[in-house]
Amino acid sequence: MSVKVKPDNRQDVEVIRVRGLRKVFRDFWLRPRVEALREVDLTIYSGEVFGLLGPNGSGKSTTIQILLGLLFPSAGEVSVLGKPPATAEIKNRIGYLPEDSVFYPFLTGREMLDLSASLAKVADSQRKGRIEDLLEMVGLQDAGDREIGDYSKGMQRRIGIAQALIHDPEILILDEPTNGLDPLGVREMKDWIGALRQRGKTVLISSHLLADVEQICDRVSILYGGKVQTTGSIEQILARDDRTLWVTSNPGEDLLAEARRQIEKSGIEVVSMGPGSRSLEDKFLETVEAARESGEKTTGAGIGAKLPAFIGQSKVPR
Amino acid sequence: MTPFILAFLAWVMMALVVQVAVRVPVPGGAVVAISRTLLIEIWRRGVLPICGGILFLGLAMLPWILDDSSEESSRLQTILDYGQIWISSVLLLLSMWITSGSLADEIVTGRMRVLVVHRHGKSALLPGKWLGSVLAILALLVPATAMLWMLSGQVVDRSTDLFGEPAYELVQPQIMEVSREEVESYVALQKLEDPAGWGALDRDKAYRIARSRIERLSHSLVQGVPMDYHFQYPGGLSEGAVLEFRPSLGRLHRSERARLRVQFDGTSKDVVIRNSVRSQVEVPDRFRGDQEIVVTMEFLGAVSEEMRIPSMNWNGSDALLLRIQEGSLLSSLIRSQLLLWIRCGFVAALGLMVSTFLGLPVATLLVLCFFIAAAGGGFAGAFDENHEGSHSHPDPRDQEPSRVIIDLLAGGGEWIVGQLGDWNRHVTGSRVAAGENVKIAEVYSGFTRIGLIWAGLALLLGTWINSRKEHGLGVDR
Repeated sequence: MSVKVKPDNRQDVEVIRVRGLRKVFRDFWLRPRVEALREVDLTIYSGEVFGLLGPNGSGKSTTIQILLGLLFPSAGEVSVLGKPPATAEIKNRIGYLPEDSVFYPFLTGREMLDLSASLAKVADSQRKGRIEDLLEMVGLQDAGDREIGDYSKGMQRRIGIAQALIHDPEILILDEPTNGLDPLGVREMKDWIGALRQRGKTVLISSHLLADVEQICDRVSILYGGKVQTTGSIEQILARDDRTLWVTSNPGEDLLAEARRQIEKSGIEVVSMGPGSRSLEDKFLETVEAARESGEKTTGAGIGAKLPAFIGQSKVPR
Repeated sequence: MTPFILAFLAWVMMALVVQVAVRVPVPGGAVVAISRTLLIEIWRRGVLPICGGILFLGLAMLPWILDDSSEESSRLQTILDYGQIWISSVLLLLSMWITSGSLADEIVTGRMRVLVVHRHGKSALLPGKWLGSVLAILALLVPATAMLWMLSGQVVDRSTDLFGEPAYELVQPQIMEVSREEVESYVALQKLEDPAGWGALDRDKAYRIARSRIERLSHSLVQGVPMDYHFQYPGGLSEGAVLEFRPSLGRLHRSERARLRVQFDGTSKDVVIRNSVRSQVEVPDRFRGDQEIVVTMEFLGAVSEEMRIPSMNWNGSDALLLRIQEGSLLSSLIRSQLLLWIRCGFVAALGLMVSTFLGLPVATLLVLCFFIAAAGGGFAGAFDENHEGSHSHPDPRDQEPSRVIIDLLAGGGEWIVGQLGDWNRHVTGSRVAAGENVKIAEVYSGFTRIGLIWAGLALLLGTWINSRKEHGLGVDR
C-alpha cells in the first residue's frame, strides 16, 4: 500500500526560487520585532516532493506564507513559476493546505468545495464532478452534506486536501499535512502525495513528523533560526559511511551466531542484531482493515480512493 | 389577523427568501459565492433568525403604544413613525454587525488566508460580503415593510382603502429664501444711510448681519401690515391643497390666542391662531392647476383686546407651507424604505472598510460615531450660508501658506459636514409618517450619492487596504 517515492521523476525546471530572503516582523511603530528569516535560499524543481523541516519558530510557515503571497518579503528575491507570488495568475496554479483546519464550520463539505471552486474560477460544467470525485478520494462522500463544524480534526484535514486540489494546481503547498490524521489517513495522505508526484505535480511539505518526510520527500531543507542549515536529497542527508544495514529472512539462530562470529573476527563491530518486527503502523492498518471487512459501521471518514482523473490535466512546467 | 400572527408570517417570508437565495443555483463567480457564504453563515449561526424575530416582534408590539382615544390620522402617523424608526434602527445596526463581524471573524480565525490565496479571493471578498449583507437586509426589509403597512391598516380600521391614502408635497413660500442680491442691496443701502457705521464694517460681517436682519424681517408679520407670500409649484395645484401654518407668538404670549387674516386673490378668511399650534386653511378650488399662487396674510393681533401682540414670526422651515396632494402614502413609504436600504448598503460598506484594519469593537465604535455625526443635523446646516462673492476682493494675507492650508482644511471639513448633511436629507421616515410624499428624484439622489459614491468609495478603499495587508500572521504572531 505504501508508495516509496524515489527522486527519479524530477525534472530540472525551477518552479520555486528563493534567494536572499529576509522577513522582519515589525510592531505598530514599525520597530523591528522579530527577524523570522535571514538570507534564505531555496530552489524547488518541477515534479519533486520537497520537505521543509525545522523546529518551532525556525521560519517554515513564514517561508510558505511568502511563497503564497500572504506575507511580503522584507528583502530578497522570490519567484514562483517564474513570477512574483501573489499575482492572480500564479495563485491559480497553487493549492494550499493550511496548518490549522480553518474552514467555515457552518458550511457542509460540499459547500466548502463549491466555494473554493468558485474562488479558483473552476468552470461550472466541471465543478460538480470534481467535488464528487474529491469527496470520494478523501473518503467523505457520505459526510459531504454534514457541516464542517461537526467533522473530526482528521476529517477537516481531508476536506482541506480536497479544497487544495479542486482547481488541479501545479504546485501544492502542504503545511503539516498529516497533522490530526489517524494512521490510516496518514498512509492515504502519503499515497496521494506519491500519486501527485507521479502526475508531475510539485509538492512542498512542511512537517515536524520526520518519519513521514523521510518516506515521501525527494529532497529536504532543514531550517533553524530563520536560515537554511542544510539542503539535499534524503539519501544524501541520511547516508552514513560507517554503518551498514542488512535485512534478511529469518536465518535461524545457529547461522546468525556464525555470521556474527565471522564478522567480529574480521574486526567489524556489530552494533545491533535481533529478530525483525512489524511497525505499529502496519499492525494498526491491519486491525482497521479487518474491522471494516467484518462490516463494522463508522460515522467518520470512509476509505479514501485514488486521485481523481482530472488531477494532472493542467499544464506542468517543462 | 393579530399582530403576532403577522410577525410569524413575516418571519416565514424572510426565511423563505433566504432559503431561496442560498439554495437556488445562480450563475456567478467569486462575488456571488462569497455573498452566498455570508448568507449561509448568518442564517446557520442564528443571526438572521434571531434578529428577524426581534424585528418582527417589535413591530407586533407597536399597537400597544397607541392611544385608542386619539384620532385616526394621529394613530396612523404614530405607528408609521415608530415603525420606521424601529425598522431602521434594527437594520442599520444589523448591517454594520453582519459585515464587521463576518470580516473580523475571517481575520481572527485565520480563514482569511484560505480565502486570499485563491485567485479572486482578495478582490471579491469585500464586494461579496457587501452583496450578501444587502441581500440579507432586503430579506428583512420587505416583510417588515409589508407587516408595518398591514398594521397601519389595522390601527385605522381601513385595511383595504388605505391603499388610496394620498401623500402630500410641501411647498415653502419664496420669500423665506433670502437671495445674495437682496443681501447686497441691503448692505449698499445701509452704507449710504450710515457710512460711519456700516462703512467701517468688515465685508463678511456686514453681509452676515444683513442676511440675519432680512431673514428676521421676512420671517415676521407686523400687526396691521399685510404681506404677500408667493408659492410656486410647477406641477400645478391639485384638488385638496391646503395652506398650513404654525405661528410663533413669542415666549411672552405663548398662551395667548391671536387672529390671522388669510387672503387668496380677494377671498379672505380670519383664523384664530395659538403659539406653535398648526392650523390649516383650504385653498379654493378655482386655483386648481395653477403653477403659482399668492397668499396675502395679515396679523390682526391678540383676540383679547387687553393684550397687545405687536408681531408674530415664522420659525423653522415648516412654519408656513402649502400642502399639495401628490402620489400615495404606500408609494411614498416604499420609496422611503428604498432609501433606508441604500443607507444600510452604505453602512455595510463602511463596516467592511473599517474592519479591514480595525477589530470588531473599535470598528463598531467608529461606525456608531458616524451615526452620531450624521444624525447631528444641528451643525450640518451651519455651513449652508452662501458665502459666494467674499473672494471678489482677495486679501493679500490669504496668499500666505499657513492661511492656504487652514483654508484647505476648513474647506475639507465643510465638505465632510456637507456630505454628512446628505445622510440626514435622505432620512425620510418621519416625513412619510407625516403624510409627506417622498419623490422618486430623492431615491435617485440617495442611490447616486450614498449608494454609488459613498458606498462605492468605501468598498474601493476597503479592497485597496485589504490588498495591501499581510494576511499570514494568523493568531499566533
